Amino acid sequence: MSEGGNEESVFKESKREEGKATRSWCCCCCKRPAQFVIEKGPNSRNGARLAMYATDPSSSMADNLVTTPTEDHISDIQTFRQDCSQKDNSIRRRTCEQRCKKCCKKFMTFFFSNIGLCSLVVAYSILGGFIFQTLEAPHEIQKRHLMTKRRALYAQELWNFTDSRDIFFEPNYTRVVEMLLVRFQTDVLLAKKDGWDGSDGDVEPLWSFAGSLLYSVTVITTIGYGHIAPKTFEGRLVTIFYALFGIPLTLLCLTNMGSFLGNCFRLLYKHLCQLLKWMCCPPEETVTKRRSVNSPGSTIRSKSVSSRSDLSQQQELHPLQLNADDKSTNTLKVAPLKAPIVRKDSRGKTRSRSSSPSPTSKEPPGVIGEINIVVEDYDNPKMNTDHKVEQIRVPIFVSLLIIAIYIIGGALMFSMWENWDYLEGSYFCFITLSTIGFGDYVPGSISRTENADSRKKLIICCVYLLFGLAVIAMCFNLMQEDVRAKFRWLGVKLGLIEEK
Amino acid sequence: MKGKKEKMDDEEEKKSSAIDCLIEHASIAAAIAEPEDDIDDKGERKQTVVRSQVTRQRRYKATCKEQTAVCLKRFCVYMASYVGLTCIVVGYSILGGIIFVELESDHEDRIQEVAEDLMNTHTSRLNQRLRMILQQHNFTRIVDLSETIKDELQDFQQQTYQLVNEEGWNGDYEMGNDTLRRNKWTFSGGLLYSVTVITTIGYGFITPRTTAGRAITMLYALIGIPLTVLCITNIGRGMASLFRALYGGTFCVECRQQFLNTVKNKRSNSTAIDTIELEKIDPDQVSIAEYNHTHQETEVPIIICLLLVAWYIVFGAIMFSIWEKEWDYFVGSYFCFITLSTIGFGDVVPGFSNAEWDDQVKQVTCSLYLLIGLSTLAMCFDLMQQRGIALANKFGKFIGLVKPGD
Repeated sequence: MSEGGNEESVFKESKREEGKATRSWCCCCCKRPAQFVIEKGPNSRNGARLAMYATDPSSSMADNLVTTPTEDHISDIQTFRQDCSQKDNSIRRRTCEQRCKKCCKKFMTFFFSNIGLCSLVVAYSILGGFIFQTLEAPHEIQKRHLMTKRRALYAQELWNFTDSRDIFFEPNYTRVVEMLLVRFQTDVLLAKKDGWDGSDGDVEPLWSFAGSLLYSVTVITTIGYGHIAPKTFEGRLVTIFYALFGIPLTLLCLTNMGSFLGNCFRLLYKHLCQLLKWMCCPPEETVTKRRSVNSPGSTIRSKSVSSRSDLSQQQELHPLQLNADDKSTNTLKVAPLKAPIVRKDSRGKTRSRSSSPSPTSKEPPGVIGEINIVVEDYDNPKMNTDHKVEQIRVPIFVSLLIIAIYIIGGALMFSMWENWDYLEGSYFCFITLSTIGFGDYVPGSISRTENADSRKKLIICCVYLLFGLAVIAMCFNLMQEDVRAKFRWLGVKLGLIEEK
Repeated sequence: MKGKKEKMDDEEEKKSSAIDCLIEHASIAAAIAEPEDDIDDKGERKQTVVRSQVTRQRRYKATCKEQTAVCLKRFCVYMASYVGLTCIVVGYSILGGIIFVELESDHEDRIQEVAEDLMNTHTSRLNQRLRMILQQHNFTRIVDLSETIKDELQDFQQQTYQLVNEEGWNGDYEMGNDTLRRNKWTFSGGLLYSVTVITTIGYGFITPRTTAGRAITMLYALIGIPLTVLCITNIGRGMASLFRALYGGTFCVECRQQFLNTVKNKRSNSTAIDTIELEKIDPDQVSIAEYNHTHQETEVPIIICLLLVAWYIVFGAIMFSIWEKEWDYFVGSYFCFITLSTIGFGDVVPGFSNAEWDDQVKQVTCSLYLLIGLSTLAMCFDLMQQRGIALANKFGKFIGLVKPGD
């Protein structure tokens, strides 16, 4: 028997044995015993296929195929379904641990959806902030005290030098002072390399919580400023492992966010275009591309549903169909009557078309298709919610415009706060959002005398970062198709790719 | 009869690989060597077959030439795409190095002068203070003045720090003419800088300080980053297929040789060759001119890919820690990891650490290590793709995101 596509089993959650489960009763219309068989088809996993057999124990299968299905058959199916669902419920109530398992699965599904991932990333960076602050702040404070002491030592040395001399011999002094200053300078530079921030102690340390948070975010987004970097052995080791797990996590989250935002933007763009067209030339109908969609962020579930709905569209609800190919399998393909049973497909549109049947269709039409949808609708109230966007092609310049606006907006904001000029602000935004991340400009690092202010700035910087990367992911998602098409065109033009 | 002839013609038109030549050649040979036991209705068939075969012979010669031309062109394109892109990226980074050195070395010289001025100023000021102290006899004034020494030193410290932080001073001070000036913005430094920009690593210990430098950096990155991403993914893919071939132990050349041998054998015993049998050989499986050999789908296990990356990091760690006297193995591997993940703090960089700074060879080697390392990463991602996707699918099924059977 050929598979009619993927179907949801009514017994999705309960344990079932491999093979068949049969229930039989008398078919009320034709007064023949009928049997509903749930069996595993060749391609189904925990799916099932409901096949209705009309069996008479005395004669062979082929003789007993019901040839005129009626509504009663359909109601039989429905009763059977209810029956099954009751059994299903009882089974569900019985197994508690399976409920737990289901809960766990749902929890993980939620987690790996958009919201879950985003909150996971945020939580991960906050955790990182705490960890790195604990590891690195003591070292920094120690360094500060060391520098203060050093300076005092140098002053003392100068003082001692003057004390030991009675007369002032200028060239001698100059040389001694110069040498001392050079040594002092070398010390300052070495301390800077070792992570000293140049301040004395009343300023907020680099490795405050906000600073560590910014640091964690720059690690997991691979920006890597470097204006603070771990100097202790433990700090570096933890950074390596933190990055090992954080970078794929963030990439996953950003990709998800990108596709989700991309879908939203496409919808918005489509409505905007329609609005504009309606405003410009009202009677014209816009034609938007409609392809069977598999938007990147959606689950593969949507693809199968769309293919099935297409299938059922093609297939045809013909009252009666005996598939010649399936003699060996004795499946009755019962197509329901159209009028009473108008099923909604995944997009919420009702299908009530009819056209000529295709007896040589490869896929079993009719019942299998119908029962599929029946079962599926029952099981799957929330069908492919991602499967709602048509593949609008947003032109490249729109995406580039979005990025440019975001960079300019950030530049304005930061240059106002930090007294940079606009070029420096946009330089900072560009270098940050492209994940190059030099670290020569970091908001909140210069004016660190006002602690609350600097904390706020650092956190806003983190938020700007993460959101900016999501925007860039969205633009990549939007640009993908267009860029690919253009490259293909270019390749064909250059003769690199053969035109098919 | 007619149907078979039409079928042959159709197939001729559809197939476009060199295998066709061989198939046709063999089939012609076979047909010509067919036994002479024709019945009447078969006689007509033989005539039509021979007639079509004569025309096919002529066409065969022409198509064979075409085929070799196509093969050659494909090979050139294949090589050009890899070699060409690499050359473009290398050339782009060299160009960038030259441009940025031009733009920034003046500023660096100026900063050096500022640093020397700073030193001179503070030296003379300290001198003044000290003289005042010496010439003071009032004790309380002496204590006050000694405090001012500390303030002087603090001021000096702050200005030095600012010079290094904001202006990028490298911290060299020439006392007399003893020390050699070490410039950050040498050609090798500029090259390293350009490479870190286009690979988005972005160290930060060398950064442009002039306005022109910054503007050009942005433009340079805008063009360079997509270019580099393209190049590295391409090279990664190429290296991955090479690695797969090595890992699987089969080379395309061998496959071709094998096939030719079998064909030769068949032609020598061609009295009973069935042309249909030859046509049954799937051209996709043994195509010579195709680059994506579908029969060579050896999957490299993920462990090996990860080991490859780990090996590269360890190799870099050992190399750099031997070169840099201050580094131990951990610092070396920390540097390699931070670099290859494109985080790129820039706190430890070979060729720019304290001991032997301005070692141009080290800096150039660092750039090369970078680029090759990123290509290796791309190769590993490509190798892991299939397995990774299968694993992700499994995981997705498990957590219920992916419906089973999709």
